[in-house]
Parts: sequence; structure tokens; C-alpha cells
Amino acid sequence: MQNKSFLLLTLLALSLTFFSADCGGIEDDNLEEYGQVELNFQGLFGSDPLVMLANEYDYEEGMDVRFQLFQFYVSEIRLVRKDGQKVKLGDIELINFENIQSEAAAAKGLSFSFDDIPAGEYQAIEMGIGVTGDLNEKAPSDYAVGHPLAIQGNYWTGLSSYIFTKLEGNADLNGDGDFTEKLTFHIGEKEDVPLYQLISLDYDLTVVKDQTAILPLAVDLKQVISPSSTNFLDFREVSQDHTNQAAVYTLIIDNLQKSAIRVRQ
Amino acid sequence: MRTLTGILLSILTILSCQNQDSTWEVGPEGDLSHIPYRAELIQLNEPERFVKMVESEDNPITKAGVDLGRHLFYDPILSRDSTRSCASCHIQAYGFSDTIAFSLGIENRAGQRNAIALANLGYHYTQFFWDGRVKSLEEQALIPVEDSLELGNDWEEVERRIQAHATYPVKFRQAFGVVGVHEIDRYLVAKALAQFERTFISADNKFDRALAGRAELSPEEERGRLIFFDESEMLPSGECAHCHVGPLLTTLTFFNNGLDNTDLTLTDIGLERVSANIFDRGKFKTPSLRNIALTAPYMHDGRFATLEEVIEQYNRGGHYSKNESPNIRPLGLNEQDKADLIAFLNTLTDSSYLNRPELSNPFLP
Repeated sequence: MQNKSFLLLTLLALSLTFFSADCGGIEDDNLEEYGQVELNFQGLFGSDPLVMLANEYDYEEGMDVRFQLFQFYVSEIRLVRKDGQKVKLGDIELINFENIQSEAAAAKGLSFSFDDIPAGEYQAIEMGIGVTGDLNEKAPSDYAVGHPLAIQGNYWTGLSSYIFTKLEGNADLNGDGDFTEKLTFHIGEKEDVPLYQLISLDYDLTVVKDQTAILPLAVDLKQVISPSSTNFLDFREVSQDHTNQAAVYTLIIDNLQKSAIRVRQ
Repeated sequence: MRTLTGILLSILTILSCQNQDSTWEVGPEGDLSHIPYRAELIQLNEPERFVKMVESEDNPITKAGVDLGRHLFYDPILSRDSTRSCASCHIQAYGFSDTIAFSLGIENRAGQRNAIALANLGYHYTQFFWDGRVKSLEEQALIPVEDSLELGNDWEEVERRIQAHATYPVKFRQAFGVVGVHEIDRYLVAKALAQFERTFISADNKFDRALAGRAELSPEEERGRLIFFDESEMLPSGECAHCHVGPLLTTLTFFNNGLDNTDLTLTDIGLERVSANIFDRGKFKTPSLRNIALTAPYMHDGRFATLEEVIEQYNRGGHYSKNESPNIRPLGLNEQDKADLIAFLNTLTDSSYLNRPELSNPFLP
């Protein structure tokens, strides 16, 4: 009888010890808490706000330019924790500046919110510029209305590919105020032209339970088409490309992926 | 004798069942509650290639609702002088458009725009009308009744007529479960019309069949297709697929396609009228090109009588305006290119849609 009681007491003590122990420390407790993250994209043209239609911009060699549409897909959007682990924000978004038609709208930017993000410390954001291989095998009919990939105008039926980025506008080729040169650059992925690429941007971000952490990003269109005065899209030579001219589409997509997107301080 | 009686009784029973709908009558003080309410949902045969149809949560498609909507669509009861119906300007044989630049309403009043061809409306997730002034089929159906250039009526009169009608109250009971005629209102009329219009699915033209491997385009049609979709580096691009793309052959979005210099004064400012945004001036909703060979004249004001004229306009590159789509540019098409492009456009005619009995006039024998 005494042995039985001792055994029961021992088991009880062990149980209490097990359930009262701190199983993971403060960091594990934070994993049980969630906040929200908002990505805010501001469009720029150099140091100026990127505004469609209303604003005109000095370009290279006496040319001026005005834009009507600038958009691109981002995929595999992830935050990188301090310990290197990655937390997914979303699979795909369309960053579309078409309706940014005033400086007020440009200042406000484009915001994308993501819920249920584990609270904690993060050091970087990763995203793919374009559409991943898996998603690019889909078609708009695979998605419900409202999904970024349901937009038929962003899909090339004949190539079975989404259009990763579109840039449309007008150029004044000699600075006389006549913007009649039409610009249309649509870059997608052909079978022999893989263009999707992941980028990573360092940024210290703290996600707190039930609060929204904002990650501010800038997209500099000037960096896309005119990174330097010796390396730019010359609209006197080319005003249109549908992923036909390697020099054109690689300039656009490389610059978009490598240098045009940065964290705003 | 007993056998004959039995046969006669059987025949009468069968006939009474077939005519059951027409035997129901409105009860005292417009009571409809004694009439069975049939909410038999319809599963539409949706083409696989299409984006899923936009569902209306408070207006599911039912057999009775579609039947009611079909009758209302063809019934001039909606117009002030009972001479015009929806079908007066949206004629099935012409892809549910008509053949004149500005459609005629009551008293032959000319409207302000060309009647848009109706097809695959249930897949339109953007706005309706050339200027995008409404966001749903239900909202759209409310407008023409009170437009003085169209049906020229007022909704209170329409409601009164339908409530007093010999058969419509029964149909409304069977479609929407209303318990009294007083519940029949414009919103239910619009819902019925929208249900019917969601059955307007057109997906069986020669091009559809070619994509499915059930037909083969001729060399001219195929060459035209390559020009249309810019799929050949050996051929000029028609630039068509920037706006007319996908199974619906429209992006459903709004463009200034270079018809006029919109930096000058316009009589019809299009989307700007709704958005009050000067950068929307002269933008109109991109129509579908399905059945395009039958839906002349073309554009929001029907200014082009033939597809040849349309292609010539685009070949020239349109009129420059600040917000003209940059995809409108001189195309460099020669006569063969233009002919082949038209050959391809002719493959977009869906004869089965134009002759589908379920979409036809129920009042005709």
C-alpha cells in the first residue's frame, strides 16, 4: 500500500514537472503569437514619384517620357527570420501602378497585407520577380475572379505564359513636347528564355502580436529602363518588345530584378 | 366502356399535369402562397477554358428563374408603349446585338450608343455598359426600362403591369417564392433577367473547336490567327490580343482605342462620365469578338459598317491622345494580311449559340 502511494506521488510529481516546464523559452512563446505584415510599394522615377499620365520625366539624350502602365508580378514572398528560417507571406501578387495618377496616390503607394505572421524578429524579405515555374503552368481559368493570376490580359495564350512585367507609355523623342512615340514592353517567359529570379532585401522588421508591421519598398522605374546614361532603352531605336529582342527584355527584367527594388529607409 | 372511361381519365390527368402551371391562379388579394415554389437550381454547362462564372450569392440560377427571365427579355411589357423589349435591340440572330449604329427605342427614338452584343455575360467581373456605369447584371437590367431613348417607361408602371398580369405572378412565385403579388418588384424582374442572361454561354465556334482538336483552320484562317495573336515573327502583329484575348476574347477592361483625339471636345466621353477622371476620357469597355462577323456596325457608336473598316482604322494607328492605348499603332498590314485577319475573325461565329432554342423567343410557336 505504501509502495503504491509512493508510486502515485512520484508519478504526480513527474507530471507536474513536465507540464510546468518551460518547453521552448521565450522564442517558442512568440511562435504562438501572430501579427500582420504590410508591404508598401512606392513607385519612383529616379528621385521623383512615379505618376502615370499626369507627369512627364526627363529621359536620356533630350528625350522625355510619360507612362500609362507599369506592373509586375512578385512570387514566393517570404520573410527571413533572424535564425534564417523563412516565413511565407504569399504566393503571388501583382504590383500594378496603372491607377497611380497623382502625387498623392504615389505617396500612398500600393499596399499588400498579410495576416497570421508569427511574431518575432526578421532580417530580410525575399521575393521572386515574375511568376514561378509551377504557377506559370497554370492559366487564368484555373483561378477565381480577383486572383492576380485570373487576369486574362496578363496571359499569353499562344506561349502558355504569364506576362511578368508590362511597361506602356509615350516618349517625346526630341523634347519638342510631342509624345507620339508609343512604348509597349511586355516581358514574359518563353520556353527557351527563363526569366524568373528570386531577390533578397535586408531589412530589420519586428512583428508584434496583433499589430501591423510595415515594410516599405521603393520601385525605381528609371533604374529599370535607364540605369545609366550609357545603358538605357533608346526609344529612338526600340519602342516595343514582346520578349523578342534579347537585349531589350534582358535589360528590363535584369534591372527590375537586380537593382530597381529596394527597401525605403 | 370502363376501359374507354379509364383511357379518357388518364388522358385528362396527363393533360392537367402538363398544364399545371397555367391552371394556377392568383388568390384573393394577390395571394400566391398556395402555388408551389420551385427552387430547382440549374448547373450550367460551363466551358473548361473559361474563368469560373461570377456567382451572385443572392440570385442563384434556377429553372424557374431562367424561364421567367427569358419571358421578360422578349416581352414588350417592359416598355411604355408595349412595343419594345430587350430583344428588340439584342437579337439572337445577330449575336444578341442589332444591325444599326444607334439602336431604336420606343417611338423609334435613336439611342446614344450601339447595342453591345451579349455573350458570356456571367463571366464579366468588371463593369457593364460601354461606360462601365454598373457592376452587376442585376444593376444593368434596371437601367434601360427608364431610359427615355430605350424602353421609356417607369418602374412603378412596370411593377403594376406585372402584378396584374395573367401569368407573371405565378412565374414570380415559382422563381422567387413570393407569397403575394405586392412583393413583385423591379429588383426581382432584374434578377430574373440576370439569371436568363447568365445562360448566354457561347463557346462553340470554329476557333473553339480548333483549340479542342475538333476542327482545323484553313491556311488563311491560321495565318490570320497568327497575326491576331502575334504568334509569328515572320508576320506583322495585329496587336489585337492586347485587348481581345482569352476565351472571352476581351480583357473586359477599358481602353481608348484611338477612335478620336480625346484631347479635344468629345460628344461621348465614355468611362470619364462615370469615373470623373480625365484620364478615362474616351475609354470604352472592350467588347468580346465572339460572333463579331454578325454584330456590325462596330464600336460604341457603330461608326464602322464592316470589319474591313475596323481593320483599316487599326492599321492606320488611330488618333493620338494623351491616354490612347500605346498598343494602338500602325500595323503595316498588307491586303493579304487584312484578308487573312478577317478570315480568322469569321471563325469566331458560333452558330449553335445563334440558334439555341433555350435562348429564343418563348412567345413564338
